[in-house]
Amino acid sequence: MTVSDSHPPDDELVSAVLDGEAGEDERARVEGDPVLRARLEELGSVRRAVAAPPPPPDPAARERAVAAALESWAAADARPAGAVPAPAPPAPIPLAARRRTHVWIASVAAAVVVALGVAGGLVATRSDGSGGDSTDTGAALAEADTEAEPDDAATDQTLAAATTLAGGGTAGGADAPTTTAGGSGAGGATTTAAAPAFGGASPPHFGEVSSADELRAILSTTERTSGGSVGPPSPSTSADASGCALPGYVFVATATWQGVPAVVLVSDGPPAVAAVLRGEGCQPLAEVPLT
Amino acid sequence: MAEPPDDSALVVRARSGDGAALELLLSRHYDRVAALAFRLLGDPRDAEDATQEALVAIVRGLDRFDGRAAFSTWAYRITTNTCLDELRRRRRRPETVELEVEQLGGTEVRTGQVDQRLEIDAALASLPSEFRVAVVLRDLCDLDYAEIADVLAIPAGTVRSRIARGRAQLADLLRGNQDAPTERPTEVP
Repeated sequence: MTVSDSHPPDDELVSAVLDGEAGEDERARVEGDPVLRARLEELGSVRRAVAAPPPPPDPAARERAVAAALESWAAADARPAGAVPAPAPPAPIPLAARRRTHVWIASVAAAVVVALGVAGGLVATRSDGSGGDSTDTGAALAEADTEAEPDDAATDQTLAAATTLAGGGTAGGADAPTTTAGGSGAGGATTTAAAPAFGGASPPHFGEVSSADELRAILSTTERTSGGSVGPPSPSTSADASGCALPGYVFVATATWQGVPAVVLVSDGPPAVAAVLRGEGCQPLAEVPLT
Repeated sequence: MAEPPDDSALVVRARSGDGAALELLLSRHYDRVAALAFRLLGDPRDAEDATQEALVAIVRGLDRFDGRAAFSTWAYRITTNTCLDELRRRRRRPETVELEVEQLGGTEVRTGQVDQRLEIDAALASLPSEFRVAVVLRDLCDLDYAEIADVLAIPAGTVRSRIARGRAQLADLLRGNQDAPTERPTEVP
């Protein structure tokens, strides 16, 4: 059959009433007319049918579409000229390729080292800095800093401290775990030469994290551990382990987020303004503002 | 748990280079964009392509979003234009509808729901695109007449007329006195 283009002139009125776009008098007219009320009911059925959600999109298609859009965004020609400069390079640099050490990430990782040391019976260095005879971890971590700006004093300082912290694995004292950074300075750097970051070991794990506040607490504790730092995860433990390459973010640890295995990424500061948690397949789990 | 940031905040952060904010923004609106594309195009695969194209266009145009309208309205406009472009392309290569049950609801035995979906999908597909767009923006996307007028760059009175005429035709079709349409929706010349 052919559907006529014509329609009762009152359909426009009824349709407007249905949409709440009619005036008071128009609504009264429809409500007072049985024929128009019946038409209102019929067009209401049509509206409900159209409003019914279509079949849910394929999750893989969602991932592809979002990834394509992010890739487009990251492309240099997609960045608007007037945009505020991004804190990180806009190109979607694979996390595995990231080598540059950032102070914030360094301090996050330092807390992980401290936490692991405590949990595993390891201890931090003594205040006199004599706690360790080995700098394997710290040296490894500092290796990642080889591409850091040479004049980045803060980075150097924290890296030096990281070396001390990580190297304190066999010491017994923990009375002043974070005080050697300033003094060691370049000296710390001299101890950092050899092994790769994290030595190919598992990435740090924050353990069970049940809330945004808890995650913030972990990260803020990390920041309070000033003077301690480690470099970013190695290629073998960053992108591969996280499964997430997110422009502007860096993978720092794994965690169990509300019972779900997750990776923790933080915005590429300083300052870090947000942390995100991603689950399997890089599915968004949560975002936690840090400022 | 922290309140999720609103769209405006995410836009600001995305413009400043925050990839996670942008991803969250896109993920948040993906379903609505995909639903609009599906309703306008009537074919899951075309809708999938159009959705991806729309997301890319959204990202590339993010700096042109002035915040006067809601982000979702702006996203709908881009999606609508993307779909209309596809419909125009389709005019040059008409194909038959291949709505598959699997695409409409998986393998579950939900005959009633699938039939209803097929009915409305087919009915929408038979509408002239100018009516279809207006009806879908109103009923699926819940835009008011002024917003639809803004999206389509037409007067609000025209929106009112198109919605009424579109619904009237759909009512005729859904009443069961129609032949099944055999063509996918195409842009009206």
